[in-house]
Amino acid sequence: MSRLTRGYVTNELNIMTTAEQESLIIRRGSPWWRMLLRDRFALVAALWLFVLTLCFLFGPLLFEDAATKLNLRARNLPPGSLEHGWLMYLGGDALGRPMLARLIVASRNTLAIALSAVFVAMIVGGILGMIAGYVGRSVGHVIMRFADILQSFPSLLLAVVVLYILEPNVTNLVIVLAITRLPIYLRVTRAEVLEIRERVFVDAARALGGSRYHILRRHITPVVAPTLLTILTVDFSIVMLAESSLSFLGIGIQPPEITWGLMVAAGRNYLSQAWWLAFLPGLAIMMATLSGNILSNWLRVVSDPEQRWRLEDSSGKKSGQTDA
Amino acid sequence: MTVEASGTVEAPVLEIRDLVKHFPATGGFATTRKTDVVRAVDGVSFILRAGETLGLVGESGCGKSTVARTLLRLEEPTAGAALFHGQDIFTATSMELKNIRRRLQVIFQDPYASLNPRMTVANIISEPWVIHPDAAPKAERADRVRTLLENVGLRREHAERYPHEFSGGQRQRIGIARAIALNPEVLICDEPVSALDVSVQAQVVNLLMEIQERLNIAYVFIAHDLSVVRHMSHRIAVMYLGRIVEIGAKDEIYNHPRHPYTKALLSAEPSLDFSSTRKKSSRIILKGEAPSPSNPPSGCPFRNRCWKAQDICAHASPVLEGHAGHRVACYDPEFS
Amino acid sequence: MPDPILEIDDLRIEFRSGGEIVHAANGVSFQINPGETAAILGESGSGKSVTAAAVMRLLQSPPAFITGGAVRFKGQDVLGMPIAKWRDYCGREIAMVFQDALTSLNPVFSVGWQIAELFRAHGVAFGRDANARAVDLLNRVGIPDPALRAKDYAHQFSGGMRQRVMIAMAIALGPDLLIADEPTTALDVTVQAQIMELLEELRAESNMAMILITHDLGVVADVADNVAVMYAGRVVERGPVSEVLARPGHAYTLALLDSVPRANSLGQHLKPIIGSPPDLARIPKGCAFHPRCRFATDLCRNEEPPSVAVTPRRIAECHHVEAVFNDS
Repeated sequence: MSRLTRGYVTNELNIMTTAEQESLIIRRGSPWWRMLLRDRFALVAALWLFVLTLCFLFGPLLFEDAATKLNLRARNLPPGSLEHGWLMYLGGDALGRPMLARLIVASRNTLAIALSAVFVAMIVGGILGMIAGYVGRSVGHVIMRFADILQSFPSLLLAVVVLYILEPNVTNLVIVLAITRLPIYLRVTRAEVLEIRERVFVDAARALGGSRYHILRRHITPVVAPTLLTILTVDFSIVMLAESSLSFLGIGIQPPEITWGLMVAAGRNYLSQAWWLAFLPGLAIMMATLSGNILSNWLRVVSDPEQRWRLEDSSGKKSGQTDA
Repeated sequence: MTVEASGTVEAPVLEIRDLVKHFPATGGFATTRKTDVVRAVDGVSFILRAGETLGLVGESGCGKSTVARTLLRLEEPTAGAALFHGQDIFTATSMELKNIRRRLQVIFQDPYASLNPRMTVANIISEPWVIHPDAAPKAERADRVRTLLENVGLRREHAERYPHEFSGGQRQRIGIARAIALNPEVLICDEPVSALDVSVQAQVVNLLMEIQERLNIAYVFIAHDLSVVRHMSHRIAVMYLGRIVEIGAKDEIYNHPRHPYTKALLSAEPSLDFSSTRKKSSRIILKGEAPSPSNPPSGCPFRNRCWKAQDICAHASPVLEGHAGHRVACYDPEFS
Repeated sequence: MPDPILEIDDLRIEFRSGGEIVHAANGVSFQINPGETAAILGESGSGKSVTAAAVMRLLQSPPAFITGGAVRFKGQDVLGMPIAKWRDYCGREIAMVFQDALTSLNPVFSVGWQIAELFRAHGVAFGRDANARAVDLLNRVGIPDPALRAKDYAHQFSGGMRQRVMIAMAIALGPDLLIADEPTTALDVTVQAQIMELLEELRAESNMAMILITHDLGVVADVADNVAVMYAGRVVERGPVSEVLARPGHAYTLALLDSVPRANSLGQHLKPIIGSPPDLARIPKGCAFHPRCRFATDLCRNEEPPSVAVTPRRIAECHHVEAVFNDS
């Protein structure tokens, strides 16, 4: 190194330096919250997810009792009136329990199950996908056939079998749901890895002596992760609905525990008399999913240096080169 | 590890012996039982001395980039040896290879693809030290990145930027900074200026020459642009269809080319000299195109485009012959 | 002087996208006479290909907008002509060869069919006659076994052969003007030499005019009669090749020539042009080249350079024509 540091900057290089400066516009990076404020949709989505987090943390604590209290006069009460108190503002269910309280309380089970299922699926699928894509052909083949088997097996059937054999509790439910979603993450990761490993910057890292682990960690994961996060948010709603189907079949979460999926399932019987029984929890699922989706898109833009300028202060717009 | 220019003038840093790289022919269905191979590199030997530049020229498909990739062990060679200070790169264990790679670095052609778009310039340039932590203590890395940036004609402040904020020429400078971060003895330059604008090429060529003067790095300079190779190189090897057909000192090759292919290549290069007598009338226009490396002609690979081909060319393949300063693989070497 | 076959007059093109305006051409003026070979020389982003695309009316609008200027082909206004009429002109009177022959050919039809289709579409020949003409053409551009190769598809040809097919299609209807946009950039030098020779032969045979768009100084010096040097969307210098390249009048042309390695620069450092080509969304004020120019003065930084007649046949847009001319 000493050879290099010996102040080796010739005049000619200095001239170049000054000229090169002009093609770059000085720009400060914005903090993440600034970029969140600049994207209205992402901001609303983030706020909504924050509200859901509050429900998740404190909902059952505050409204557990209210959510289970029967009130026969409020059976199938339509939403929009404050007559029976603010908890009844969204109406009452078939047994006259306040919808709002039930939705808030149900958020914990719903989010806990769906989030853990998709995260487990993403992490396990991602790791297997990386191994399949980067480590070796034969290992890759074994993993891919495993994914084929998982995918060709009807996922509901798989869940039914597993949950009949094991006890239908929350942990097993999460495991079953994770297994059924696993192949998607595995395939996407593998496909991305196969593409990225051929890029020249990966060759450059190999030529520097970088190990497989180094390349996976420094070069491949940062590119794959945002894609997986996007899939995760879409998967989120699929998992919530799958969980409700299982509950419907009597092998998922059982009453008196409640989840949004279960509420949709229960409300289906009353669709003609009281549509809100199924609609409101359905709306909750949709809004949670949509918020997650919007936020993950925002995250993808923020994590991509080439896209980030879209969310930064307008003065820094598309700085530097066009490289036409 | 540091090699002083005076000490090692004669001993080669790098010696390639009979490098062969065959790719299995792909395409079609897996049922094709014939063991088709693409003979990308078919017996290449050369040496590289400390501090010199060996130009490797040839047209696309001649195998010059494959030579580079196998030397870096980005591809596994089919046969042959590559001795780096006497140690064979091709049989090195992964630990040995990691050590060799510290001293044998590369610059790629495409400045857009060779830098990870999600990493800052500082992270890109310090990646070598993450892989070889003993090369630079953590505390010094930030400073060294800045020094390197200045050494390649960029500014210290550029360290926090991302590759897409730079032009092609600037990116190539970043790639060069990364390549010299470990103080290598040999730099393999795989068409480092071909993707750049004419006006920017000269900047990078100058930078590479300055770095060589300062750090005494030996270059294997791969290019298809003959004028750039002529400018950069001390010696030149001309490749055709996986083999070296002529190798020698730069002036020898340019002023007294002996292989018909070298002559055709030199004469095809568009010239800026209006006065030159070799314009148009004396130009050699080759017939046809280079045959596919999966199906090379028997004997001399160039014979079916050669205007001097004789019977013997179809039967036996010529080997490099001549004195040390200029060797040619042809049965009809013209002495001019 | 004969009337020019193509005249581009103060052409201005903008690309608008994402709130940004990219000034791809800022008043390009250029003309070419019948039977002549003219080169448009420039680096990437100089506006040379965009100009050609505008002449051929290939620009998609949006994002491209032609904001000023005129193009006249044989005295007729091209840009205002009804598109149907212009399509009929294309191929018959004016044709183009692109850099990337693989994407310019349709992958699902044989090349013979595609050439024959040209005759059919323009009502020149039909049936067997069209096919026979296609084979003739392939023969003329030097494709071995033309009758056999006519049945092949684009991907079955090598790069050089594909470019020959493109040329065959371009000259099929005997146009009077051929625009070749970087026709040899993707090819090896020995193949490039073949293609350039072929183009030159075909041009001479039919007295066709040819515009050669390229970034390669050597190619320009080899084949063109006249040259227009483009920088940042303007023609900064034009005139006969032998004069312009031998003794430039514009600082950019001079710097470009200096930056290329040549026989007499061996062993020395090259003289590169500092910096990078400008961002076309932020073209520097005054002379666009001033940040990279060693002749630049305050005048260059503030005022657009005038058109100066270097010699009667040459024009350069530079504040320091005399200094450059004497320096070179």
